[in-house]
Amino acid sequence: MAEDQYDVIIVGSGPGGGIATYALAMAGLKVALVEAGPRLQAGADYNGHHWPYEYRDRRAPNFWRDNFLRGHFTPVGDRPGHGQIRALGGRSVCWAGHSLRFGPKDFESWPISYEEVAPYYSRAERLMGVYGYRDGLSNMPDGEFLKPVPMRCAEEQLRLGVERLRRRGARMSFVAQRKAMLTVPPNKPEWKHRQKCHYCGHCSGCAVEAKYTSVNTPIPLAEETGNLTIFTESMATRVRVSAGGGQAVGIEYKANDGSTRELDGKAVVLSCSAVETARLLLVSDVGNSSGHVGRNLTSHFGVTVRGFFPQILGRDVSNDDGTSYYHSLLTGLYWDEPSPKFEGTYQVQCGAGVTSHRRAIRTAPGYGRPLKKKLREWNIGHAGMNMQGTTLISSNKFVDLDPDRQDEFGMPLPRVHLHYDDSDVAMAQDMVEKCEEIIRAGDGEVLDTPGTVGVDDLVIDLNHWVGTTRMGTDSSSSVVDTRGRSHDLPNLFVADASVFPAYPEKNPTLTNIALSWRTADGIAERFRRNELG
Amino acid sequence: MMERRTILKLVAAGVLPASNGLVQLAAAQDRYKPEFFSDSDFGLLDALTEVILPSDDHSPGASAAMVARYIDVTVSDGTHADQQRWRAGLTAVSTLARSRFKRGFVECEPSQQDEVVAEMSRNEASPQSELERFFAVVKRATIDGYYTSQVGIHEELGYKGNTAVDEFPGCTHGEHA
Repeated sequence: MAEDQYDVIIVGSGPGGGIATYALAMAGLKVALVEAGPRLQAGADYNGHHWPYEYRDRRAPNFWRDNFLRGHFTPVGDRPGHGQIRALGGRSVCWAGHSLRFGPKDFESWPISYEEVAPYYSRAERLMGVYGYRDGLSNMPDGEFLKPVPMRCAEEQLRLGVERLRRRGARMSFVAQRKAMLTVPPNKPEWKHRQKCHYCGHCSGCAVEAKYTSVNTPIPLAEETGNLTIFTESMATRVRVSAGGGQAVGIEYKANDGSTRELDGKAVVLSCSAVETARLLLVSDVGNSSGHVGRNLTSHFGVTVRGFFPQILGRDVSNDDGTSYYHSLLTGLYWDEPSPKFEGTYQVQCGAGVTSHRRAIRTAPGYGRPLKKKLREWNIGHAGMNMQGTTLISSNKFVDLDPDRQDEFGMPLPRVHLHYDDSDVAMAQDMVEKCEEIIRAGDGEVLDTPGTVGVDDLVIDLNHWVGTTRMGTDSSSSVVDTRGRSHDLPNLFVADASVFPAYPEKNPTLTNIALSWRTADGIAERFRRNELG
Repeated sequence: MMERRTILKLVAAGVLPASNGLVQLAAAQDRYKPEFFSDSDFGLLDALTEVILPSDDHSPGASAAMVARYIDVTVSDGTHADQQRWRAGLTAVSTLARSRFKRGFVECEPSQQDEVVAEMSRNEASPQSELERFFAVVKRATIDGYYTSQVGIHEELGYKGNTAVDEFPGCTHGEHA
């Protein structure tokens, strides 16, 4: 017997599950939010403003490093990672906040248009609080921005390089980053649990809640409606279906006392992220009549090139923290004219400045005074360019279940298969050449570069997987419809980035939140029309 | 002692609070008892790190930043294989100094110490011998320890972040944009 009856059960409390919880509780529905991890407390469980020398091992606390799961999946192929946080808020607690709208061109390969999603981008930005400049770019539309945050000196040098190349006909833009952080006082009721950013750079686990997370905005607001029940340390192990298999009736989960329990719901929403949502569907053997669950997997990947700008060495270096490392972005590449050498697009996240954190430069040849001088100058005068390209969607990348290994909940581990395609390597090679050109055009020296790129140089973004339950209008080649509803079960939904049917170079979270909000609104509408339950 | 002076300077500059125990720690540095290394290995390590990142006109070096102490605690917390590698590496450095100059590394003249480290680092890009491979290990640990220390962060790099500011100014130099 199930413990209780809910209108909607939402599994996972990251960016997608958080916003779905908010939208459905605000609509007056009785919501159960099921999260595998505990509720962590800012200040007690994570904090900023620490110096490495306060710690015996010189490692200041870092929310991501201290909390991400290990050994929770089986990697196959070219070193795939799989980022997973089990805590209320999921990876919204430690995301970098980069909030870039996908553009009209990006939606051309989707079954929905930019115009259909745009109102949800606006709603998401107003709730989250996103800062940025209005750059007027064709395929990365401006949003509803708060006061922007400027670039640092070496990033301005990169912008100079890009401007010079543009004058010679290059098609690209160099702009400041857009992030979901409050750069103004929290003057809206939705921001009452947050504070204005104070630019300490500890954005992965922001202890003053300047950065938007599920835990500081949608979940507490949903709790205040009285419609939300939160189950923490509760690992969903199965989607339960009716006797005939035609309806979802709830979930089964493992509680923190080790017992197996059930919840009943009129609708079930999965928001566990691309790898885990696919795993839960495969383990439950539901929603997969297309055979596409786990397929169409893609993420961002890249390489890093760094430049050195000796002309800025005389500047004041006292505080470059800002909103963490990346304050700028190389974008607009191959939007209008695809490359003949590879498929897809990439952007380059750029950062600069002295830090006591992991971005510090710790390698230079030699020893003695020359080494010390180089490290000082390089740390002060460098700019880092980190490629973010989309891996080609192909049969070389997918998620399935490991037949041999199980986790502590008795579930098969997910296997993440990643084999880079030639197009991926060609894209990274193009980025390296472009970035070297920009650094030189900005009067800098190339500090380090992979040069000729091989598969071993490529680094996957372990937090940007999407595509495993892709949306579509054809139920034989997609898993959910354009409102996130399963083609197979009329009351089963996916509200996370798994539904992306194609993936531009831009960061996924803002679009995940906008789409999940849209999916939640669709669910609320169905309840109003008495189509659910 | 250099390290005490360094810390007092940081306290005076407001970078470090006087109450956080680091001043007392500096006073105790003279009689620091290594957790893992023998006293003689610890002395050798201290001298070796100072050759890799020396004191110069700009700031104090690895010795003042107590890098050997950082290495001692991390090796003490490390694996048995790591510990073996460190012990063997320091022995090899000592042996090289004795065979070349008939004295321990610590007793060598600065130019002699430099010659030993020059030999260790000869093939840095593709190390051939155990001693050359050990150079990469000790250099990496020295850099990590130095740039996570008060001296490395505040004096050498002039970094004073990790603090609350009302606005982030970004680049304010017209010539950079």
